[in-house]
Amino acid sequence: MTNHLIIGQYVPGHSVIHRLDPRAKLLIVFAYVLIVFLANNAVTYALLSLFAFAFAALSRISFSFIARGLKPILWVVLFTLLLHLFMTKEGDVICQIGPLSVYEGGIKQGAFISLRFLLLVWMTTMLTLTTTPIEVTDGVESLLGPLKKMRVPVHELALMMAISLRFIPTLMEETEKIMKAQAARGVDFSGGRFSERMKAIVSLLVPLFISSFKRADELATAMEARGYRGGEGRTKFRQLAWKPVDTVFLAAVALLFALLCLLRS
Amino acid sequence: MDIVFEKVEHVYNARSPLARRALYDVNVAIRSGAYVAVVGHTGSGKSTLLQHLNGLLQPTSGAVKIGEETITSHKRPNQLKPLRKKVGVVFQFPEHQLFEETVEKDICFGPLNFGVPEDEAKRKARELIKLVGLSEDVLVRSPFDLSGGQMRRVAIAGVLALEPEVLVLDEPTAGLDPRGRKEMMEMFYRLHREKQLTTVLVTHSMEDAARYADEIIVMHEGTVWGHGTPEEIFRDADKLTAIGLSVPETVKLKQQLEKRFGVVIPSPCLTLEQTAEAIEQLFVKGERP
Ligand SMILES: Nc1ncnc2c1ncn2[C@@H]1O[C@H](COP(=O)(O)OP(=O)(O)OP(=O)(O)O)[C@@H](O)[C@H]1O
Ligand SMILES: [Mg+2]
Repeated sequence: MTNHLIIGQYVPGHSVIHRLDPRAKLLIVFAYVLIVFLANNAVTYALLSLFAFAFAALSRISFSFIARGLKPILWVVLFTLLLHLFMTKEGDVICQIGPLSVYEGGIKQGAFISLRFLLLVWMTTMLTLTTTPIEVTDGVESLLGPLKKMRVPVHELALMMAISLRFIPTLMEETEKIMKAQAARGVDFSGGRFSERMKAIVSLLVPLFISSFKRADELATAMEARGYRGGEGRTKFRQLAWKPVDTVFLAAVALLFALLCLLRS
Repeated sequence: MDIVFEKVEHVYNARSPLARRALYDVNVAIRSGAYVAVVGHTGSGKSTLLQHLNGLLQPTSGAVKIGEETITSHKRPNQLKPLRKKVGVVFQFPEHQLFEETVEKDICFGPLNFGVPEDEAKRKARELIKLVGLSEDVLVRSPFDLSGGQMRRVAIAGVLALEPEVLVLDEPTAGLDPRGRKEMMEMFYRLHREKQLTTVLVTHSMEDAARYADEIIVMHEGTVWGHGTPEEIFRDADKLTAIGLSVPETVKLKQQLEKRFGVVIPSPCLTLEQTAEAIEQLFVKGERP
């Protein structure tokens, strides 16, 4: 039921991308997300796509797997495409469907915006597919480190993030388990009348909330029992290490940025 | 209902890097009215096997035949509801499935889903709450105010309320106190006989498997390692130990006695009663040293 949702999942591996410093990966993806908005013609979009594809290829995760993971957002993409197709009135009229006319500019706009959206999701998915949640949080904490001086509770924020990320799979598992248990008691999650559907959802959400609260409580107790006192003076078991290859990848992004600036119209 | 597994394979997250084969080459037949225990090391695929019994999981290859219905990777009955009514499943830690405001409503939830009239369902709830060893005034309480063991009993009552023909139990007594365990197991056995149920019980207790089951299925690393009567299965203690299982304490006692006294005890010694009898025989025959 939840099998095809891969956003937020981690796929173990030993590729170059997997072994990049999480800080480097975060910076790369963050920079990419920003510079995607520079693209405005075919050449620049092609460059961005090339980069995304190369990144995925280096990670050695199969394209078909990533593509299947993007399926859930496909309807959003389709919607954007259609919206632009019919709402943009630029250039020549290509064809006429009833009262609606499709302009050349509409096709271009629609295609570009959809592609932009896909690329954004693609790269952020690549980040989570190749980086464990723990690495992501360590990376974030380290990158935001300077803000500590401004009394931003960086460590606490990172911890919150770590806990949320850590429990996404657990929550999914739990959801599946409860859905199965209720299905065995005759609940039909795929159809039925409105009132039946509401009942089905309640029978899923109540146990889910209860176990989440219970788990939060247990987690807090366990942390206290092991002497957790926040970030002050806390050392790390895993030390992050910046390697030359990380610099190379960042340089590649810088190059991409430069090229985009040159080639955009 | 007869249940037949033919070359069943199940892969979780098939066709993805996270694919994991939990079952393979499972060929097993469970005849109608049998009490079957499924044992096996943790992670050997017991729970996965059980979920094929009412179409919660479909085999990724092979076929599961349940009565008239056949479930394969590409085909399953359009209507799973009748099957789910006939096959009641008590999951591992079933207390997590409780959600209604009162115990009574929660027990009635299943029957109402299957179209049982409300007063009939309520009558059944009153009957079942006593059957699982709780008093009737629990019915009006919130299930979340109960202790873990009481919640477990309520959840079990909620499945029994479906009046299934096949009762599937996934470690139903894990975490209960010794007396509660015994009571529960006796209750399931009584139901099994009185209502001529087909019972499939997953358990880590070799004693329970030996005492109640007609047949034992031993799972090992995703496939059926052995299938036979308790006597056959517990004959070879060393082989079972090698796959992380053991034999009941009484069988161990029998082996010790045989070794110490150099005798052969013909009884399989599967239960305390049998064992006591076998020891008595030893004395009566005057074979004691
Ligand atoms: N929902 C799931 N997604 C992916 N893999 C799973 C899932 N459920 C079980 N598995 C895997 O399938 C294998 C068999 O699991 P299963 O739950 O059937 O074992 P089990 O014999 O019931 O163990 P236990 O005695 O601990 O309950 C395990 O390796 C487990 O990791
Ligand atoms: Mg299990």
